[in-house]
Amino acid sequence: MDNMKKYICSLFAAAFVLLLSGCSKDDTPVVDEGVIGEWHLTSWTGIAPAEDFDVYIEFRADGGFDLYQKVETSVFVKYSGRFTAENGSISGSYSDGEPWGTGYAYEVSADGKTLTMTAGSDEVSVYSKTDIPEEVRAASDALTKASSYGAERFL
Amino acid sequence: MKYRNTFLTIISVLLVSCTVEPAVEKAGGEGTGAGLQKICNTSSYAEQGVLLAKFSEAAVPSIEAAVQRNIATRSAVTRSGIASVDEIFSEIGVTSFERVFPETEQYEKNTRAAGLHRWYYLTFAPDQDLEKAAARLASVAEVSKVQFNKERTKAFSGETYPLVSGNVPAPQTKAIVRADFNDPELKWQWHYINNADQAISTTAHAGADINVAEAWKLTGGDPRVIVAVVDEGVKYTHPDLAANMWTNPEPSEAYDYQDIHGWNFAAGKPVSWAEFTTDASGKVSGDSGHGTHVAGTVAAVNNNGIGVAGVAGGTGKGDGVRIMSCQIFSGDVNATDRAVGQAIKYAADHGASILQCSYGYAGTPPFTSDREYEEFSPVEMEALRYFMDPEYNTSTVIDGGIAIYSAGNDSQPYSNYPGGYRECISVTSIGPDGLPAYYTCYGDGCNIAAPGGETTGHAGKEKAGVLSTLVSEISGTDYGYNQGTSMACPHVSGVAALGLSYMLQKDKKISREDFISMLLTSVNEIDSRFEGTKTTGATLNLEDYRGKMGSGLVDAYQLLMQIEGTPCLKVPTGNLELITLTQYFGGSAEDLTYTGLEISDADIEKLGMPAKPKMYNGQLMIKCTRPGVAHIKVSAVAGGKRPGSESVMGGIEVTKEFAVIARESAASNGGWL
Repeated sequence: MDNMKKYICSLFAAAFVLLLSGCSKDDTPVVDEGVIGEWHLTSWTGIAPAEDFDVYIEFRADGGFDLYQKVETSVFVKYSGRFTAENGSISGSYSDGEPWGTGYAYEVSADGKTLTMTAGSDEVSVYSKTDIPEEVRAASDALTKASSYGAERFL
Repeated sequence: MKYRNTFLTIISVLLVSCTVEPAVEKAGGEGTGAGLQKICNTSSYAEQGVLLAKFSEAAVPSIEAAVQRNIATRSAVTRSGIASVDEIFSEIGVTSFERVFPETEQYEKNTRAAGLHRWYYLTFAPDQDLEKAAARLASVAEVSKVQFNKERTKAFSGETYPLVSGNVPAPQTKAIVRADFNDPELKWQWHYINNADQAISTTAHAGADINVAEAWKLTGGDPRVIVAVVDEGVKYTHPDLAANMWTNPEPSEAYDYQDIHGWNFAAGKPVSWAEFTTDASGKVSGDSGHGTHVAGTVAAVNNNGIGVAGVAGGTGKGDGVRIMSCQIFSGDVNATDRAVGQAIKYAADHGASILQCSYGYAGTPPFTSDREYEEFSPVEMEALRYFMDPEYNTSTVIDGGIAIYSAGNDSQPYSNYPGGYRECISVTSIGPDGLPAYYTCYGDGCNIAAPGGETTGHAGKEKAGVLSTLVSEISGTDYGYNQGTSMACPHVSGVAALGLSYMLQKDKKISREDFISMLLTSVNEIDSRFEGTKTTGATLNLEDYRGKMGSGLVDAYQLLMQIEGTPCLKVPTGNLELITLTQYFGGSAEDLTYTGLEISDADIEKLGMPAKPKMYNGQLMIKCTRPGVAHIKVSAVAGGKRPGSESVMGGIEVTKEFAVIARESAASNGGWL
């Protein structure tokens, strides 16, 4: 009887390990190491955007990303989500479930300091590896707090 | 209204006779036709025994030499040194003769460059016929202009309601007031944070305020920003104002070194605030606390544990904007052209960026266009131009001063002047219900709305007015309620001061013109609720006010966001898009009148636009076929359907430039990727 119990326990243990390994295999992010890091948009469709808008992205090894953008707002806004990047193709979705507007073909320069992402035929975005400034991360938090109340203002 | 009808009649007659005569009825009497042309205004509501005269450039050296001779002999200056002028001085018995804008060593160069040194003020016996004296003076070649010294009036009802402490029902929605400041009476200042409190009014409307609580999280003010309160004297010892009073680093000899926090230009002495009399019925005449109330709205000290909050009163760390008291009403002495001219110039000389003016003409202004105002009130007009001109205004915060005026309380469908002037901002008033206050002027010349309150017609009675600082010597308490466009105006001045403070904090350089465009487009839409009637102090047909209260209700947080930067407009490629430009022109964007759109041919080509974008029914109509960035400049009228010009009253033209980003694909949540 004891042997039977041991046998059953072993079976459960083996199944559990298999389950765990299966789960872990499913969740393993598909991330090309070359894209991991903090990036700053330096060129879009051939122009430097800094005068008009600004974008920073952090791609992490765990498949998560944080996006800090000042595009349709006057201060930086933060978006987060998950992505995959392999075989020169990168795509993802935001934490609210919304997919990215499109997938991109990407290329990392030999020195690893430039990431070029291309959507369609004309939209070429060039990112440089740069630490995201603390004030960009801080500004994002400030907006999140303020805008939640500001939205109530319209009578 | 009577004067307005007279004016229209005169215009009709002039048109019929096909002559080119001045539109404003000028004073008659003796003198030549050419001389009469030099008389700028009329003698109604004018100070007796006083005239203002502008001398020709050629005459000034003789006059100044004569004045110096008299000063050297310590005799009263009663003669000009010009025979033809002195003959008239003799006839009318001139008893004093001095410059309107006193000579101060530091600012004399600017004064002369602006031509203000040519204005003189002469006094004579009050029983002299004022119009005849003006006509005689105007007949001399050396005199360029003669102006009667007309009175101004405060733009409020005259009734003050002290704040009652003790057994008062608490605000019913106090718990959701979100400001971080500890000023105990802030809970009654619905005009800053309106939570539709039933203790204020059963018709109170949430959000009908200036949205300053969120702005305070970013800035409370900056002591480098100076707001000149052109009004009654500000009680600079008030416990909730003293810390935010401007202190003159260099008091001037021209003011006996007593211009510490400003000057009393009405009475020619240091600032005063409690000269009043009370009759048998208890009615107070003289000082009312009006200037102190207005000052408190701009910058009562915030977060100091006492009293009320001010829009730009700081965060309790000595960081509020500074209030300069430019006193033009003093006891029973009313403001006049001379006093307002001097007060405005003093503000410019001493670095004020904002002119807070809750006064206007006594009676209905006898003109309805900017040209007439310029001709009618040259002393005030020239002082205002001096204040707005970066060559003369010594403020280093922005390139030139911003003049903000109350629209007036006569329920007229046009602004009082100087607020109606196209370079001044004219402020209309709403109640806690977010609807026009029963007394507010509206229509032509009005630029923006703010809470001015209504102390009658609401469940909370006086609590539906604006709560601010008062003069305890007059009202028996330091705080109380008033209503009027006088009270709406300092909300806009405070918001502007907060905006300038944020500009300094962020080290941004924004031109005066762009800043005014930002201020007038930092608004929430109010017109859509103007339906049916409203009855408080009077019954209003609300439809009459649609599109006539200015560009919308001022919003402090929106202004700070505009100062932060200009957002881009993202447009998907391939489709014809109609886009409301709310983020550039505020909550009323769809209702504004647009006057122009500029885009370069290169940008049209770059984004593959089949046609030049245009404004259509209040929206931007645009189609892009290629991704990229283009720049567009759009102009609109803030206040009314047409921009003001010399010949017609109207709004202020505001212009916004922004980048359009055309993209082939974009996430619907706005994310860049």
